[in-house]
Amino acid sequence: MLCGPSGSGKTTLLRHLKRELTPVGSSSGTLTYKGQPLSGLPAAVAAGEIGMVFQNPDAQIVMDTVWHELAFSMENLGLPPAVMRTRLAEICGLFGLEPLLYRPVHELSGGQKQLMNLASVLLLQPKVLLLDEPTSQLDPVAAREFIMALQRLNEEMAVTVIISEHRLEEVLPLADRVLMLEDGKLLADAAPRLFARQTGSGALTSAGRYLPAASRLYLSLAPEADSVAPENIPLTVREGRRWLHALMAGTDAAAGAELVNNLNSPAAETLLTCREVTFRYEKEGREVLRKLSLTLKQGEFLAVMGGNGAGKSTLLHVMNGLMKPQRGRIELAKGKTTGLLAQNPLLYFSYDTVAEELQHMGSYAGLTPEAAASEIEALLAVFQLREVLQSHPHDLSGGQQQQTALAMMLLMKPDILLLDEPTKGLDPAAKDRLAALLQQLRGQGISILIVTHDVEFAAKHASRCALLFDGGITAEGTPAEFFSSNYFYTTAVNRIVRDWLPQALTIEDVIRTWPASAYRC
Amino acid sequence: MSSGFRSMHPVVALLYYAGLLLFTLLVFHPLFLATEIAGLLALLLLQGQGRQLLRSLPFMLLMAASVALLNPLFSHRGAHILFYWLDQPITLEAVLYGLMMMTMLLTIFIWFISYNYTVTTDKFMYLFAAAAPRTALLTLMAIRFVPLFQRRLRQITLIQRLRGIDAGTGSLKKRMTDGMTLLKVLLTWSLEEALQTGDSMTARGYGSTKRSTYTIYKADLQDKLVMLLLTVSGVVTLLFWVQGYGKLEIYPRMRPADFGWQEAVMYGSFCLFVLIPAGLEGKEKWLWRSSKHSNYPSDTLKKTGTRSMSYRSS
Amino acid sequence: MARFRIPLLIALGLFIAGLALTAAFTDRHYVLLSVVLLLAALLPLFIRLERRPLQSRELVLLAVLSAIAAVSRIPFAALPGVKPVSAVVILSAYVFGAEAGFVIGAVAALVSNIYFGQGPWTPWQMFAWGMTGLTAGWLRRSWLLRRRAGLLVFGFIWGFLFGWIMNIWVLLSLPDALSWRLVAVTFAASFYFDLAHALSNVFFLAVLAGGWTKVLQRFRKKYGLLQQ
Repeated sequence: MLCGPSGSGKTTLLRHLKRELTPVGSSSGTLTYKGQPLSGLPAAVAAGEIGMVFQNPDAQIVMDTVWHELAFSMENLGLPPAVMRTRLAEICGLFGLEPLLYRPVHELSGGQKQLMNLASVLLLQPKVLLLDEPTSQLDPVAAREFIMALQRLNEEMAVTVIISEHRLEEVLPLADRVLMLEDGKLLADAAPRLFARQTGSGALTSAGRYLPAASRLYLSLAPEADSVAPENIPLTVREGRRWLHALMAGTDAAAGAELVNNLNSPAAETLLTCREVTFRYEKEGREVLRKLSLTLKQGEFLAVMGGNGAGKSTLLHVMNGLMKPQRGRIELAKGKTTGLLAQNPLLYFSYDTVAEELQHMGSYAGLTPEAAASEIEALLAVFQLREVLQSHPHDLSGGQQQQTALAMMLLMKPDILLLDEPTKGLDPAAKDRLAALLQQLRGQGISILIVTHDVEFAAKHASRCALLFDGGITAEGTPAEFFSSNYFYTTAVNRIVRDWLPQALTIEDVIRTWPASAYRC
Repeated sequence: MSSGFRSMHPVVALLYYAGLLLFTLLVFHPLFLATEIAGLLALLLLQGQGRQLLRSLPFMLLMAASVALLNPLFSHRGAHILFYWLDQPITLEAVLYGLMMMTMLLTIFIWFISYNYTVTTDKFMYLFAAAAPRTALLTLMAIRFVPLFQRRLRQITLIQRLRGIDAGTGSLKKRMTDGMTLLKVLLTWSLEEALQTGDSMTARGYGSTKRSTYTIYKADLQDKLVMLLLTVSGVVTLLFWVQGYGKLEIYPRMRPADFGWQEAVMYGSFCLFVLIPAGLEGKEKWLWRSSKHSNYPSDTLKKTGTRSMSYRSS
Repeated sequence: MARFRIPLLIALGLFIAGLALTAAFTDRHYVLLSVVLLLAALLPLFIRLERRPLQSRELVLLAVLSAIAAVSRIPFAALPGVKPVSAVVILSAYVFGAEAGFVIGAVAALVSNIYFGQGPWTPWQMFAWGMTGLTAGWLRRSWLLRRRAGLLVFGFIWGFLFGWIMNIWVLLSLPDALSWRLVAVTFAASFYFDLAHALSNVFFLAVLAGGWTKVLQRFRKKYGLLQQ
């Protein structure tokens, strides 16, 4: 497993390992595959034995139907039809793709597309599989399924897998080795538990956020990280619970601690109300939202969660007034405005530089050129976008694109900010930066509503959480109330410590409330 | 649902439709054209495409009727003058010739409806890929992009409204300008992604060796048999045509067509060619119906026979 | 079988061409001949596409531009004559050259007709839009297309040429009545559609020219695509 912040060179490294995609530029050093220089391999071997799956499920697809897409890679290598047929049968059995075989690719979900992309590469029977953040565009359920498929390949077929990934909770426990890159340098290369200990011992503190919750919890509660045996460090929830059980055997101190939530301010003014909203896309279509009621109060940070296709994006579009509900009403407090940040920031850009985008947005917002200039100045400082001001929006990193789009929305001076999956595809550092930014905006009096899959993010930063299911809001409350009543749909930390601290959601919660005597002995 | 003629090997369909089009354009005889129309109509109706046919009927009739009218108005050749209109002679020959052209045009339109239904895009591409693999790949990619881009364009339209770009409101000029801006956003985004698609193709070995073709079609005995029948009957018809049979002479002077044994043989083999698909379709329909009555009196029906085992499940 | 494919195809082509010539000379029956000639005109350009070295990125680029041209036709389906395809094809050819322009035009016609309905007009449209792209690519360095006004004039002219090419297959179905008067009537009947096409071309080119060429040129530069 390959980890590190965006721009640390993970993709560049992976592309060097795939000969056909080696980036242009000056390079030195050697790359060998099975002792042979990579550049000397025959074309068919290089293409077939080293396979690569990319981040964006849609962009990798070439053909229009599933069978054709699967066969595409085999056709490229000129395999005879009989061989192709057998391999296709095999792989469809392995991934359960047979019912999808004749479907057009655009009918598939993101997860199905990514599995198909994986299968198409596997049909060449690669020895090495390179994956560049393959699950970053998928929802948690699809991501888990994808990772499980990888695990089976690795364990049952002994395929070497090199994966760069931000979803550590699932991938790190499966890895044999963890490599950490930063600024193009290799900072760590160790087995997961050893890697975890290194991050605890101070040599690699910045890597702490790349560990699963169990290890982080262990390291922040354990007295001296240097002295712990690596095999004791838990990586999964199960191991974490086992460790805590052992630790707590005999003591019974935990039950007393209660969390105090100081984020609640019940007397705030109501800004936005959805009153029994019903929405469907087509006249005969399914009701995506059904009699949904929800309120957003001044100064809140509301996180709406829900599964795939539950209608989260639709809810935001309806709340923003982009789409009109068939029944029910959206009530916005007088003189208040909303701003929407869609999932894909690329939808916002239509000019050639970031500066132009912001200026045009400023003039659309009705600001005078001087006012716009000073507003933009202020936003650039907050978003750290000054260096990229003259770049093309499409040349920025995903995080910067998102920040540019957000800055554009903020020029409209919205009172309410609606964000659609803002943490999708962000690395942990970028997530922290986003959270800080949102808290800062909240400090300026902007109320925030996000829809997200990201349980950890919501638990850490939201002031209220709600669950969207079957077209309506089925549960809502403060993060502590909301998550502690859930069994599956809660943070990893909560799943570890819930027997002792049912309301603790984050490591900070645990540290704050954990009876000091329990571990400082 | 594909069954009957539609589930046969694409080469059979290609042979049939290519031959049919050739005969339409070559054999200038009302009986032959009428037979062709009848054969195609029977096939379409048996395939349950009557509604599709009805929908395009007004356009077809309009085009065909205008041809039938224009010819006598602009062509004054022929010996039998019917009457004068605006000092121009309207001849029997010109009227008949116009009607012939009308029938031919109608045949071509119906041919296209039937062709579109039977030779679906992927079948066409399968045939096409053998002759021009790169062009076929390019076309297939473009075909895949169209629904994707439409979906993207909808998203872009929705979100760009937030920044005042809206093709639905304002003056005509603003709306068209905004519409073009939306297309530009789509263009930029899609071109960026195209580079990733290109990388994914290279990564999977595109261009490393000569490509082979995976096919989901298999020619069975019936396919081969039908192919043979079509070829033989088609060649026989064509041979007679080259000999000069099956031509209706209208100009310079309308002559009643003589129908000797040569014409009879030619027409017979032509009928065989035209009616094979409709026959196959009808046979299968009949098999289904009879099997429903006799073989499976219970409520669960199962597919029987090789013909109804479709290669495609959709 | 595969070994004989090319000779087989050539033989078949010659055979049909022979039939077409026979039909044309003996019976004044030109429809088949016109189709054969049309295919003969398209063929060399497609063969060139098959043969020339082409990166996968460039192939995808051509597919994307064809698909965009095809998609651009859909919102304007209700307005007869208004076809943004021409403008998209001209601009693509302007940046990427004649061959790319031809391929984009021809494929856009083929693909968009999956939605608009294939018919006898499909090969003619492929030809007309292919030629639009081809000529725009040829003339892109000339004095005409160098300046904005010239580009607009070029678009205007092709609006009419497109209509006239499409008139040919209508005329061919009336070989007997072919006379200057019939030609005049046909062209008069299509005049308003052609004018709408020509004017919309001018409009689309005026709106698109700056922004789109910049976008396309950025890609050509950034990734070194389709440099001839």
